[in-house]
Amino acid sequence: MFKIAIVSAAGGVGRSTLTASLATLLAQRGISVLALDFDPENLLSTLLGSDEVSLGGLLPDFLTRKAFGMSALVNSNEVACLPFGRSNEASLVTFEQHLRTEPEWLKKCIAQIDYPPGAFLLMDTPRLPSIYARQAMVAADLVLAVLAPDVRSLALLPAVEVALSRCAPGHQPIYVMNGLDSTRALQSDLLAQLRSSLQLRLSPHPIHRDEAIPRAVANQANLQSLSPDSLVAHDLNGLLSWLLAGPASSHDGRTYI
Amino acid sequence: MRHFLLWAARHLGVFRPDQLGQWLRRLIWLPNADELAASTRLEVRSRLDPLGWLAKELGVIDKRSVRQWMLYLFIFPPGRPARTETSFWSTFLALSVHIIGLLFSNVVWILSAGVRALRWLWQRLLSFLPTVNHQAVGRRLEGWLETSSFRKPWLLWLLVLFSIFFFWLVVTTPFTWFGQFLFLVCLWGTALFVRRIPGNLPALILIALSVLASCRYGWWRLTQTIPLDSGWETFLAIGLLLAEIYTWLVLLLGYIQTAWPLKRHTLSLPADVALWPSVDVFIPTYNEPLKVVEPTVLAAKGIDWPSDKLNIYILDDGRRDDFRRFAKEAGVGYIIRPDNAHAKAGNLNHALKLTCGEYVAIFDCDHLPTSSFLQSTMGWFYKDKRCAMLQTPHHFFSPDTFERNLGTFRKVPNEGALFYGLIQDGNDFWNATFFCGSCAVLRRGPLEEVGGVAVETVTEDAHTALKLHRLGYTTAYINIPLAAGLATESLSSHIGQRIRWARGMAQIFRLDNPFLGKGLSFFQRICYGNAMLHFFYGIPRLVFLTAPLTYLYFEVHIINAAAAMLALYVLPHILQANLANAHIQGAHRHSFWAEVYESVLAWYIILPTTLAIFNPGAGKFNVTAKGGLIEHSFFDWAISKPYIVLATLNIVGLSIGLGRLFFWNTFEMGTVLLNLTWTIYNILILGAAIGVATEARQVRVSHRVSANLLVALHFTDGSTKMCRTEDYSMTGLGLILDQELELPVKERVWVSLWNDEVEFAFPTRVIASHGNKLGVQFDNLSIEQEANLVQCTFARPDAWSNWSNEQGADRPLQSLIEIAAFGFKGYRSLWRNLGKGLARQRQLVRGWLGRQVI
Repeated sequence: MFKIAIVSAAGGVGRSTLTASLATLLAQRGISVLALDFDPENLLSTLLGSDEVSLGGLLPDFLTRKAFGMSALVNSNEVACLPFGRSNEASLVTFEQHLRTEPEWLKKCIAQIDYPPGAFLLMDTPRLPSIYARQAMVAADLVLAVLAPDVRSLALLPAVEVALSRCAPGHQPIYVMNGLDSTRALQSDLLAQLRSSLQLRLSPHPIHRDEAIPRAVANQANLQSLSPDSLVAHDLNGLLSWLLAGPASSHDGRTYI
Repeated sequence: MRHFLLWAARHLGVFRPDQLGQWLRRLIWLPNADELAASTRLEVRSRLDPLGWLAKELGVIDKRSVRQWMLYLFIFPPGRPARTETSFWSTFLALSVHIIGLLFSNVVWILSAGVRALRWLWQRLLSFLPTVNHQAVGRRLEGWLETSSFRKPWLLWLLVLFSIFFFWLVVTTPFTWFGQFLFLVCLWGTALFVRRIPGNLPALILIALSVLASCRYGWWRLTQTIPLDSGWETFLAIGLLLAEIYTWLVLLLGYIQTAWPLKRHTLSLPADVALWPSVDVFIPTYNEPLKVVEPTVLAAKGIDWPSDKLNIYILDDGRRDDFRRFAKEAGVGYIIRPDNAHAKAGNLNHALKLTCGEYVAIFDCDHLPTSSFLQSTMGWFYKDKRCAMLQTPHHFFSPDTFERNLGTFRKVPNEGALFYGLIQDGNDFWNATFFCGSCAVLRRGPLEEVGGVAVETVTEDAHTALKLHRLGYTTAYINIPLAAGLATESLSSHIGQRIRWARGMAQIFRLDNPFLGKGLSFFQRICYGNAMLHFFYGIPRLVFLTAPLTYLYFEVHIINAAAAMLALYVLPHILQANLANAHIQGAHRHSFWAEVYESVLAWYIILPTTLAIFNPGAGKFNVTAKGGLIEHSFFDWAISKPYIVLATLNIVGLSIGLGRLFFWNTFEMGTVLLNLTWTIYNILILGAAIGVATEARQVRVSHRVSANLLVALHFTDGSTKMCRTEDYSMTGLGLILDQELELPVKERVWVSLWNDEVEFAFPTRVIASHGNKLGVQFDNLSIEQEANLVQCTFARPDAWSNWSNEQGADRPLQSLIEIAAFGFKGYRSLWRNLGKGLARQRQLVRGWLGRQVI
């Protein structure tokens, strides 16, 4: 199983949306995929088409000492999703305490999952710095850092690298820009700047800001079938193909760029 | 019969004529003397009757009865006892049934089997031919020729002497009409077979056949067909002969020039960018509008080269303020000079003094370079340190005047295709690539050594290359379009440009003749010589367009030969030349199109070339106008006058000729027919030339280039759509969507284009929306956006690489039919415009009269 952690140093850059879109696209290409929501916001299942906010999930399972992954759901697109589950302040404190004492808890839990070979695991995380993102990065084969097309991302670029080097020394994240509006000259300039500094570690397929995504979520429909000729569908296809051909192609799991 | 047999038997030495074996033996071995003597005696004594013998063998009783002979030959088995009494009808019936059966079962079977076997062989051959790697065979043969056993000079001389001897034999041996007919058939058959094989070697075979046929025709023409009786006739005859000698010479020189096109590839540069040299890009301009020059400058700015080693200069001979402003805005150099001495050449030389790059790249102000221009070309300067100049083709993305007015854009190779597709590649093999003034890189050192760009003639480019070659420098040609521009807009400007070329070439021929002077190799002299001689086609072309008229009008025989004989001699010459050229040039010029291109220009280049030969200093440089717009379709009466006169003369000649054919000259119908055929051909070619003078209206100001590029549309509501371009231009895009989409006109839409993974968005407005087609126009682009647009469209490295893929292959007959159709269309258009013109004239006259009355 190839494990990808989706992280970012800035908030609101669209990690969950990107995770959900990528998971759907993977499933559409016939690749088994599990989307794991490791963010107390517990939104991923909603984005993947669940009607109401999931009550069950990995946190309630942990508290009730059930096996990891028992509450996974599967949507009509064949995407399996393991929600975080409903939480409150007390449960989060307990959970975080446990995570702090056992930095490889998630990694071990994932190792127990019996999943077909060639499957993908996408982990959605809260913004860095975060104990959840840390666990996900430790568990991941590949860290995909999401950048917004604004100055924050540029300023916080080192934060991602530092966080990753602490969890997995010697590893570097790969980057993707999300929410690009190419009609704004400033954003295009920023992309050019990032491209020249990150070079091959930045995906050549930035994901554009596009009404097709919120429309698809609102209609609980699949983006690729609702607006197949939208720019964002083209971008996501490009990103996934690039990942599968490059960073995510190594079979031993670990990627070195 | 009997006498003949006896005579043959006596001479062969068959003394027992009834023995078949002896006949066979005697056919091969001669008898010795006494046997021969015995045979004569024997023959006298025996006097055997072979018919009697045959009758005896077959069983025929009545030797005079044909019926019996038939019966015993075909129906009754031999040795059957003779029957004298048979019913006539039964034997007739049996005979006919038997004969029919025989015919069908044997003859037909044998014939069809033969045909089948031949066809099978032919098909095997045809399927085998394309599978052979002709390039490899050619290389192997070349390598074989270079082995030591073949490098002995005596062997070479022996082969040359041998070939010359046989060549001379074939060229000078007179044949009867039948012999010449066989010669035609043999050559033609061989050529028809060889022309199916692609590659250089078959081309050389075809060239050899063509040279043989043409030389044979030439020899015959020179030695047998010149009328020497009356002065007038001889004068005309010698005129035609000189014209023919000219075409013969140009044909031969052309074969040498294009014998082995080099087809150079690109070479890679050193990996270390620090080693790359500095390059100055010169964009000379005089009176072209800024909107033509702007994209060129922006494309040049985008050339993929270290930015500290790339300097771009606009050389403005018009000294215009908006150009200066634009240069400053775009961040490129701007050079002007106090005078316009020596036009473009002077302009370039002036800039050479003010700049210092190691190399100079020159682009006409309307030639947009692709971003890979320098990286594709500069490699050769590293490989060959003596290389002083590298030329790339002039590619045009707008239709030239022929293509627009005849509607052949991207279907038939245009006039320039032959030169840039084949002749320059052929020149390159002999190290004689010409500099063509644009889309080329020159090394500064050698260029300054020859005193900069030549200023003595109006074709400064070719003359500069000639000077470089005289100093022993090499030049190179890469046949990959790496820049593209606008073709000349109207017929008059096209003719103006060609007049300049013709005059310049004539000037060089006079001032710095390539056949004279030091420093050139034999083949370089031939390449230059042919390039210059080529421009003297004016008078010969006119001679050919009028030659048959001398007979049709005045009954003057300018060729002193029987029509059939002339046809038999001239046919192989024309056929072989056409077949050879179709093979060599097919991809770059379709058969018979040269006649159209030349006929249009012939009249106009006579005077400039003749003048330049006698007084090379006369005449001034005229700039080729580009970027204009023909707003209304019109018929260019002024330009087409000479063709109309020629066409009228030919048509009158045709009607007189028909009179001669049916009434007055029925005793020499062959001659009349030959002249009529020639005249009809001339009329068709002239019709096509007249068709070119019908200037078709141009719809758009900036030319649209069809291309299939990825595009994203960003609508104002935040949604997007992917689609593809149908065409692009500097002002807008034509788009094709997957689904139908109706958008209001004037709606704002942003359009994204990609340049190698990097996306650029441009503001546009919808100008047309119909079904799944959408037209958008760019909305006030900034200079930076325009630069990006150029990089995404015109300057893509592969922008022009598949340009001629849609062109059909050359099929000579098809080509002739096509030109005939264009000829008819030309006359139709002339007729219509004649009506219109007359009506206008009448109105003018009426108006004038009306005024007089008042």
